[in-house]
Amino acid sequence: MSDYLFLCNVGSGIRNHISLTNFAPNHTGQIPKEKNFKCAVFKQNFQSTKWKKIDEKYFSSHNLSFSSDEYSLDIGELAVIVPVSIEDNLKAEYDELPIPISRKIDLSPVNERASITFSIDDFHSSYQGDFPYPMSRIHGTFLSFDPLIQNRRCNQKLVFVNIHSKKIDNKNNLKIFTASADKNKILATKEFVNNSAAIFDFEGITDKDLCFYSRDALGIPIFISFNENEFISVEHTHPPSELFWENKLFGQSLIKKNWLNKLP
Amino acid sequence: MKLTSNKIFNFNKYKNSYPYSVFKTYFLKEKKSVSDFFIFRLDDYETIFVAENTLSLVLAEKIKCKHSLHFYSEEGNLINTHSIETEDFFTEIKFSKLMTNGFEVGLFIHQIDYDQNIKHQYNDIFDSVSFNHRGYSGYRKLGKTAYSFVHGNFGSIYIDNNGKLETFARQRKNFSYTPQMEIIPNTTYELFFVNPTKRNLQISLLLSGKNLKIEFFRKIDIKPFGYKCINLKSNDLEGASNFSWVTKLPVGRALIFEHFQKGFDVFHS
Repeated sequence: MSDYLFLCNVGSGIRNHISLTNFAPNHTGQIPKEKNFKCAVFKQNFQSTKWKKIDEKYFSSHNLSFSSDEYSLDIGELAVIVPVSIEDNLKAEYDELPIPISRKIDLSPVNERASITFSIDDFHSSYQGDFPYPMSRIHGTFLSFDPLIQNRRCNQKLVFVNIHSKKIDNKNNLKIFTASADKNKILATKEFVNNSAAIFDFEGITDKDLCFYSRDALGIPIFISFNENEFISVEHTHPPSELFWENKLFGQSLIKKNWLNKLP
Repeated sequence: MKLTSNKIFNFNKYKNSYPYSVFKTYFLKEKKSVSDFFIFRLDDYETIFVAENTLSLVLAEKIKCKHSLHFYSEEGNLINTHSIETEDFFTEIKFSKLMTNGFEVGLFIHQIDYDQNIKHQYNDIFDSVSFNHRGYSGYRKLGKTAYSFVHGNFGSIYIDNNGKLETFARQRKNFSYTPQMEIIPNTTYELFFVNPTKRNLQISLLLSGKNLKIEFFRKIDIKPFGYKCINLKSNDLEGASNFSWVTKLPVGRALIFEHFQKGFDVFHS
């Protein structure tokens, strides 16, 4: 499964970095093998429906890195990194985001991924992640919970990243909600558009049992916990399908149906 | 996990890359509470685990759930079991040496169970899905305020009807796994490898760099259901920018603690 990578300006002085290697992430054999590709960086302004190419990078060693500092991103704006063939002559502008090439070299199971790092002051935290290409082709719905919320221990952010690679005619307002799962009550609402990130700060929200949902967009939820000059921690929650060993999609549809019917 | 016509046609090719027992997955349709393998640390660290109440999450209502954590040593021996009952959607469990029988570092899995009347009432759900526990572990240095979290990685472990530790995981042929990260100067790495299979597992760590040919660094043997940790100081690895490892696990991930000057990061590869 090929994938997109992304950089985001999440505010609060937090920077976002991506690093990836030219080694195939997983393959059969005893010697790591390289895969030849380059990475292009695209940006779609909040109001625009066009993807503009803003950078292209080649490997000069085994590693390639990107930072949100390199591109002028407003808060919530994304720079999408697309691994493409070295021979691709890319245009300056696209209606549809180019298809990322697969970095697999055989049938070995792996999500291709990159190191997605967020840093503040002298502290950083990362996870190996991506935005899967098939997920960028559908609209879908979103539901997640709060196992990564550390009430009162530190500052918290939820960064909800949406990438829709198909052509978009209009940028409609999408909504994501923070709700109390217990009280069945919306606590906060964020409006955002396709190909951007909705960012929640949890100041003033002390409720337990939070859930996060959107009826008109899917995306990757990244939870950032941080205290200036002390620490930062970053992790994403699993999609509901990962709660099931088999019949994952059936299980996911059951959870989404029960919660989205119940929530306001 | 559907057996598609493409997979049936190329069965051998898929089987050689399939991380789980084909027989158990496709033909032995036991309903299990399957868990990832998680690491706990009480050596200058505190560990919490956020356990999910899966039936409650499915039904969107609170239901009493028995969470059991089974702890294992480096050699894969059971060292203790700790149970707690709650009806919350998620339960934060803070570990102590009392719970881990004095062990400072080890492995654990998460299992859940419900009262018989609940199982009877929601028989259709228990019949149609098996639960998978991929919960979240939080680590902090002693005296610090907040935790660094990492989600479950790989395991496919369960307790069978006789109370015995069982697994869906299988070793196949050699796989070369490279995490998508660069080795940072002045940094110490702890690479935790777990063995979710019933056979000894060998892992060979390799180093590479721009002006460094891929070279063998160290080999470890891990007992069934055990773990091993490899410590690396980046300043001792002259010219190395990346590590890779060779194992017979088709998904041979590690849990990595990265210690920099002022703190640490934890992530799975």
